[in-house]
Amino acid sequence: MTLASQVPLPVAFCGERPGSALSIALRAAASAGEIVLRPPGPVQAVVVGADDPDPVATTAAAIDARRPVLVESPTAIAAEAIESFTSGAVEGGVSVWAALRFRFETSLGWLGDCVRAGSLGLTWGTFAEATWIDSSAPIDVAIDLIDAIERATGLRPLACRAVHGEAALVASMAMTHGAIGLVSVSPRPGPRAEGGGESVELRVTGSHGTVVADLAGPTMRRTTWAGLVSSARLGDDGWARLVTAFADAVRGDRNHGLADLSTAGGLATLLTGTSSDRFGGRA
Amino acid sequence: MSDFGVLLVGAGGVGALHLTAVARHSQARLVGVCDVDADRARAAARRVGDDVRSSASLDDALGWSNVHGVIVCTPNDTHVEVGLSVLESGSHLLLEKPIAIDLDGAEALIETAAKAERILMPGHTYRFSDLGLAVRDAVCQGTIGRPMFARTSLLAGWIWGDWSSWVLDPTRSGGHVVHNGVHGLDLVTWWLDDEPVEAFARGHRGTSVNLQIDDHFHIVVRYGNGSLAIVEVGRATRPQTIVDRETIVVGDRGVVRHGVQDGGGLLHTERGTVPLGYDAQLSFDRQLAAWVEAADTGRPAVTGEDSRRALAVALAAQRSIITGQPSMVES
Repeated sequence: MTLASQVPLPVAFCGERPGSALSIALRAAASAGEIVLRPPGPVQAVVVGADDPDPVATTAAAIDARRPVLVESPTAIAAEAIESFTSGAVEGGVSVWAALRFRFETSLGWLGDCVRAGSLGLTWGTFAEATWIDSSAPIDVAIDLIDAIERATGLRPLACRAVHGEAALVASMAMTHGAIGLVSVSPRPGPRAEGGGESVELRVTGSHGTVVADLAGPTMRRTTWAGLVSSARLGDDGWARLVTAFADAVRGDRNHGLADLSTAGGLATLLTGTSSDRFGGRA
Repeated sequence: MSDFGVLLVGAGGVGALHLTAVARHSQARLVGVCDVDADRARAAARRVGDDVRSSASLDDALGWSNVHGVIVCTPNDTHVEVGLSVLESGSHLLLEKPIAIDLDGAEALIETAAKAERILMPGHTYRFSDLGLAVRDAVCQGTIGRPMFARTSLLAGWIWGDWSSWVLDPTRSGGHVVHNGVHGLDLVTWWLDDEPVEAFARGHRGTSVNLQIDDHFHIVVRYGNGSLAIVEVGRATRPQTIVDRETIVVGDRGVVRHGVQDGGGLLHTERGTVPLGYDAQLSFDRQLAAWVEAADTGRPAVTGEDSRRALAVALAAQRSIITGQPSMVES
């Protein structure tokens, strides 16, 4: 995808961990001349990294300065603050987005096409699983996965019960149209090694089969329905497409599919509330 | 035991797998077949040999000479009554899962087996599958460190024929969560080697809203030491056979996983898609061998307590589906 403008976008990245996926994607965009990170002059947009020591203050400062913001970790910001930010941003005409990147993966788009085309018949079950991933915030990953389920299937969670175990976060959801859904996230303990078996998959089950999209790169797809089985290798560009969409949105003041922070906040409420199973819906 | 005489009670679908296992075992010999349908019992016996007896009376069959062990594969609601009769007759018992449809029944069988000093081995056949054994080996050998999360998913099609199947009647089968859920619940608990504490479940009636059982469900189990497990079962998808089967166990030093495409690929036929390398009969063969061996050693590979535990989780899950709330597992 090409940028709306070839003039590099001046962006401030606020975070301390240079190895995060978002910071890597931003650096790649910077090296391609699409983004200028930490420019000497005024910035046009702010990215709040997952490890920003004070993400609330950073986000508030960006909104006060009327700069669009991309927040990597929605759960780093309390739900009350998200509401405040959202209203403040609306008043100031500022966009505040969450870095939900699975919705930008090619395989998710393909999966959504399968569902919308009716290939599965009636959709009644979804399951998203991230295993052995390098993440200190499994709930952020779970939020991203639930968002991916919504985007691909059109189903929405109506109730949720999340259980945090020693090695996994598991969320069971009752969804619209009587469907049921599961999300599990199992971060890898300790430092990550090469070839460690990381996987991120989203499976959708319907009356006539299943489709599976691999959301970890390089993304794959696998289909099993009506006795037919196929798989194919797709792209691995979710982060890059997210950053590009961010840059385009800032430049053009239009949204190319970025998630509003309040969306992520709603999913966080669904996952974190102690009485989350009584959560009857979200705005 | 060089000559282990076997009586089969219940000549339905799964009975055929047990009969083949007996035929393949070097020390086991089929003495007779008992079924409430005398014609079906006779037909099953004749398929094995002219000297194999048949009867519609359990009392008569239990009185036959040279019966050392009885395989019971009758409907779930009869397991306790039939199982108690077998144990009280002095025979060892291989009892199809679930051990019972309530905990009182399970405990009665366990106590009776102990008093009679007979082997009670519930038929959690999945433990004897290539998958079950491979994952257990990986765990026991420390390959993945301490296991902390396990998931097993089986998504497949409708297998129960018409609407008259007893499995569809929860008063007879215990419901789908009990009938098939105990397979996965026993597996994940065996792999995690921990005590289940709480279950939360959701069910879905995909084939028809008029069903009295959830033909598609998932169960989230919380264990005493902080482990979690997911058991997901679907019998609502077309085609009839398996469309997806996955297993994953996460430890503190690694992950073991098995997918539908592992173990030999996939076979596509008119009836659906079947993963190759999954030999159900082999699981039954191994299970029978373990039972015959237990008659000598006194140590069954699967105990009544194991099966009671799986049932307790399934019953908690069933309550959870009804109430929408997590349910504690009765210890």
